[in-house]
Amino acid sequence: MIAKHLPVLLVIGPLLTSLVVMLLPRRPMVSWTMTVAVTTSVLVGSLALLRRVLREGTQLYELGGWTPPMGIGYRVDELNALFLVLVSGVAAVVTWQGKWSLLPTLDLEKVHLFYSVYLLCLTGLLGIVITGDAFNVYVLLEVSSLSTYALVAMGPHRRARLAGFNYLILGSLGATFVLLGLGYLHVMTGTLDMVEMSQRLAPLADSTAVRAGIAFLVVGFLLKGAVFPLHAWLPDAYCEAPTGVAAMLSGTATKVGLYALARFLYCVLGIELSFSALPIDELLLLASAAAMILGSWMALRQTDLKRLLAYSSVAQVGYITLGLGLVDQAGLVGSLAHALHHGVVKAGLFLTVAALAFRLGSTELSSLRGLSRRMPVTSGLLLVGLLGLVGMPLTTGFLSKLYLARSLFATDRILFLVPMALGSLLAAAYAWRVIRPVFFDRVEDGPDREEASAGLLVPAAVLLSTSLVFGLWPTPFLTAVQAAADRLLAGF
Amino acid sequence: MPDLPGFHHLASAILVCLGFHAVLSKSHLVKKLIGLGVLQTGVFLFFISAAARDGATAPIIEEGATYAAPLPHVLILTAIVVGVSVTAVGLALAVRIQAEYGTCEIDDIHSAEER
Repeated sequence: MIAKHLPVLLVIGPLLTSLVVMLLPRRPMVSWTMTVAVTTSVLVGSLALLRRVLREGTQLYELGGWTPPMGIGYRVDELNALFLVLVSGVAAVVTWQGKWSLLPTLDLEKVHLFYSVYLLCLTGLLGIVITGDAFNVYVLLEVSSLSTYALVAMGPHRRARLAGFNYLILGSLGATFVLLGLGYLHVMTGTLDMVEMSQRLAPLADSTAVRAGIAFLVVGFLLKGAVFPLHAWLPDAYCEAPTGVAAMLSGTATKVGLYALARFLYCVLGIELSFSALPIDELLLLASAAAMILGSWMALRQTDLKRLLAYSSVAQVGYITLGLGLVDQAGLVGSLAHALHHGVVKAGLFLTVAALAFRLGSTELSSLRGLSRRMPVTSGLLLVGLLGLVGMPLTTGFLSKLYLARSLFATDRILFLVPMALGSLLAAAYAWRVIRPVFFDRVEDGPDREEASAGLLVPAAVLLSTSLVFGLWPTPFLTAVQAAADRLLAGF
Repeated sequence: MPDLPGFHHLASAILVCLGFHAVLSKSHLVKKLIGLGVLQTGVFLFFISAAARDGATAPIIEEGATYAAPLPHVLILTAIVVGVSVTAVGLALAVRIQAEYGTCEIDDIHSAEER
């Protein structure tokens, strides 16, 4: 029974729990325990689903027994199974740390509302990834975005409200563009089921209406994925949100936007239409080159650790879109591996920042001086995360960059190695700006050793060590990612 | 395939452009939200007019009648609910910003931030 309905339970579980958490007695621990229980179960369910997909192939599920295209179908293949694991994994770990990092900063009367909205956000993200219906993508995009605006606005400073509002304006513009794009495609194909839409779109490549629809759709997803130059909402949103929320967003929200972009470009529209009839690949490559250089450059100029990490996200998204624009197997493996790598590492880094901010009360780079003596474990985690961002060997970031470079040679786009190398050098430079005060600045008569509590550090360590484990033992990781890349290239 | 060009399509394009312009150019937060509403209404009109047919009735099965396509109407019902929610969240944030900054003008907020 549970095995049969597993795909829909992954989405309905958090949705119903969100309502229950809101209605239950206003005890912070009750809300937190329920959220932990449901996010952990969703992670276990996603892992079970990934295992099933890798063994038996694509899983189909019909909502309410209505067969697509009449009803809404869930299609779980290697690609979305991997992203389900990413989203639910990051959400589960972030929720665990919440008891020690978020609960002390929230108004006790509002904790249940926070977790209710948090679960709604998770529902939307999981729904976008799992669904096989194009309109469902739009609805769940809005479900997750609306809750994200509220979560961002819950940050401690009044600037958080402004960041939330600006994100709402840009996010709603993006979502409305997606809706308009889907409108064009629906009018032309008469269907909303992704598979059926892809079959009917193939002969319509010359239609202006289809092309206009694709343009709106792609811009909408690029905005959601914070692809340069549509990244303006990201730095303020990550910086002003509660750090736990920033961890959740950096690990999941942009990655889900990019997943939707990849799913539509490769599967629904098809490689022929996206990259031969329209020049979306060149567009992605140019945006990626700009993101890698300018994002890293902006990160280098920041004086606040959270803001530095936010701008580094803008740059790292560039590597993901670079692989999407290369349209070959190695490029896609690099792109997907980088999406998973960056989701896990950046969420781990934000959790580490939450741990040190709890002790230091500040995330300014200048306040990090001599941190390695005061908080050696936290400093160690920070180092691992930053090396992951640079893409040092032994981390998964090295694997993804290796595949991207290989694909650049294979597709004769060697010129794009320049922005990639420059971006990595700048990444090393901004990592050094953090590492130098932490490890090399001596502080005379600084405070004694006072490490953050295990509750704050263990979740961060879990995420960051995932990157190391799969960096050292890449076979299972790469096998799954390669299967997902092959699935993208094959269409459905 | 419905015949696309028509005055309601033109109207929806004008609404989308007006809304988009207002969202980007207005400096008052509530005016930005109004622009967003106009933009969304333009998109709703686009869907609804795509569903229309000449001489069509409501989609209730009768001999020899032509029906308006029901699906876009249902989709837009959902999108309207989403639009209301976006406006609600946006206005709630604007109220908080007004309370904390004492203004909803984006320029005044930025100058308050720099001080």
